[in-house]
Order: sequence, then C-alpha cells, then structure tokens
Amino acid sequence: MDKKKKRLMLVVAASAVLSLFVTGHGIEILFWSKKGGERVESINGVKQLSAQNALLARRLKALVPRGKYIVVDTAENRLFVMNDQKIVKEVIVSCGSGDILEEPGGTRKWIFDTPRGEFSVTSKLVNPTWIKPDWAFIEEGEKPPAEYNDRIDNDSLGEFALGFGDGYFIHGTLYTRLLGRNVTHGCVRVGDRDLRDVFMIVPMGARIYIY
Amino acid sequence: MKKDIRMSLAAAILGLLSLSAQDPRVLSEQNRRLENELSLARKPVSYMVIDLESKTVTLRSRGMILKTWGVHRFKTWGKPIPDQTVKLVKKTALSNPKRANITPGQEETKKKSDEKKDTFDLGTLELKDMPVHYNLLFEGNVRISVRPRTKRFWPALLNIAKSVSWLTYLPLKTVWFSVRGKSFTQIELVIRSEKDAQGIYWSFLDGHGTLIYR
Repeated sequence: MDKKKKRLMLVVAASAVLSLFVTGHGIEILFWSKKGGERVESINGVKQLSAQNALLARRLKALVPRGKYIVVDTAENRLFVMNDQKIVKEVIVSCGSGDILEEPGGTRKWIFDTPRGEFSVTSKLVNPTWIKPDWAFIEEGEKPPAEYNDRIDNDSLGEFALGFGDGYFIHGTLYTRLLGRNVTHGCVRVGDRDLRDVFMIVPMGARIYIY
Repeated sequence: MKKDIRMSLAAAILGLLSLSAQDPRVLSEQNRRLENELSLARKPVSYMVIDLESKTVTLRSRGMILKTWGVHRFKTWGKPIPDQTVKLVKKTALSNPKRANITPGQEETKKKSDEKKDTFDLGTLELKDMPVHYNLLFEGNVRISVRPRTKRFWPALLNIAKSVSWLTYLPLKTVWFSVRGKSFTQIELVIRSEKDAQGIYWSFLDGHGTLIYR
C-alpha cells in the first residue's frame, strides 16, 4: 500500500514538473516570442525612408574620427596610432593594473585602472618631470612630503610624455620587460623608441580612444 | 543626345527597380538601427553592438569599430529583443575577477624581483583573469548568458550544464514570471574562443549602452 502511494506521489510530482515545463514552453512560443509593433511604412514612404536612411548613415560616418588619433586596447596592452581608418603604428604598452591601494589609517583609496573612453592629447612634453602624487609615497610605505620639491622625479617618465587629462600620461618606462602586461597606476607606458615615434606623429589635440 | 536619353532612361528604370526591391520593413529596421546608433555615437563614450544576424559583438565609439569578437552560435528565449538601446546593469560570473590590494612598502620590491624572473605572475588584473562563463544583465529584464566554444574538460562540462538549464530552468522561470505578470528576454551567446569571451567581459562596462540586432 505504502509503495503504491509513494509511486503515485512520484507520478503526480513528475507530471506537475512536466506540465510546468510544457506550460513554460507554451507561454514562450505562443505569447512571448511573437514579435509585434513593427513599423511598416507604405510603399509611398519608401523613397522618403530610403533618403532618410542615407542621411542618417552620412551623419554617422561624419562622426568617425579622421586624421591622426590614438586607440589603446587595455586588455591586449596595445596602442595604435591611426590615420583615418589605417593603422600607422602598433605598439606594445603597459596599462593599468587594476590594483587597489588604501591609505593606512586613512580614508583615501586609489584604483589603478587606465581610464576608458574618449580623450584628447592635452599636453606634449619633452623630458617630462613627474610630480609624484600622494599615492606614489603611500605605496612605497612613506609619508607624502609637504615640500613640493620633494615630489619632483625626473627619471620615471622617459624622454617624452603625452598628457590626456587628470594626471594621466602616455609616457616612457624603466620597466621595459613589463611591456605587454597590466602593471601601471593608470598611465600608458611605452618603450623608448616607440614613444619617440608616437610623440612625433600625434599632434596636440588628437583624440585618444581607450577601451 | 539620343545616347544621353537612353542612359538616363536606363538609370531611371534601374532606380525604380532598386526602389521596388527595397522592403519597407527592412528600411524601417535600418532606420531604427541608424537612429539608435547615431544617438549613441554622438556621446563621447563607447557602446556595444551585438549583431546576432552577422554573429558578431562589436565595441564602437563615434560610429567606428574598435574591436570585433565572433559569435559561434546563439539562442534566444522569451520576449522579442528590445528595439531600443539597453544599458548593462551588471556582470555576474561564478567567480568574479578580484582586484589585488597593494601592501604599502612592498610593491616596489615585488616588482623588482619579478623583473628578474623568466615567467612571473604579477597578481594584477589581466585579460587571462577574466571569466569565460558569465551573465550580462541589462535593463528591461534582458539577460545574456555568455560561454565559449571550448574543448577543455571543465568549461565543456559547464557548457553541458548550461544547455540542460536552458531546457529545464527557463520554462520554469517563464511560468514564474508569467504568474507575476512579468516577462524577460534571454539570449545565449557561444563565443568562438575563450579569449574572445574574456575580451567581451573585459570590454563591457556597467552602464554600457548596447544595441542588440536580430
């Protein structure tokens, strides 16, 4: 008797689950997946729509960058110098590490990502000087100095630097073996020879696309 | 003169023929896509285009394609894919990549010692650390499940589990959502390689405007 009851309950439960599956599939097929609300224009409007599409396509094309600009792939650690849609130069770089630094006993926190989006070259510097920010000292376990002169570093950025706002630069590196890896504090590090070329090719105000 | 008239007649006939060949539905769809993309391309931020027809995922900015990844195959379930731009709400994975915390005073020493080794793991967040199986949740209950085409044992096993859940979990979810008067769109993308799946995860940012074409 008990066995029969158990079997019956099992059959009922299995049927319930099965009917739920069937119901689910039924809802999806009969109601949800039906596509409605398509905008169908009359034949008379075809010409107008076609012309409008051509205009929209032209407007979209007009937004595509022209001239010289930079594209940075932070995942692959690659920098491309572009001229219109052609690659002029491809360079191996180092981008942000994604590491987090928290100030011991403090409230400040830094995330070392290379910013993504559209930027432009806001400065071009020869033999750049790095004014070390607070995090550079905290990372080394030191207290940030009060004196401005104590923050000056003439060696770390290499021969050239291209600034793109908020203290971010495309600059040289002492750690050439780390090119191709995500190791920086957000800047884009480039090897010396490549950096010279990038610096010479790209003009002030050129767009930078980072993704 | 006669030649000119013949030429212009031929051009007019060709024009008419091409016009009649243009399906209003196709034109209307093109129009919607162009309008949507134009509104995204006008902003100084990148956006994603998932084109199921051409089986590609592209990252774009200002109408320019920055990166393309290949989709091996896809499946859809539920409500039709929204016509409008959808924003990415969040990415979820079984094990989300974790950022490393820097210990003040030790970082420079670590880097210098790493420099001397032949191969080294920097412990930083790199492409290889990104997941290959994950979900992308968009506004309007649109969920994209991403997995790679793979021959490796564990990812392949996870792929089988995902296929089973597509047939079992989704119908139940559909009933549950219907009872609550809600609906959802589910898309499954099988990406051509593990690296491509990781690349998509890396490039998709929260709030990213996304266009999905069917």
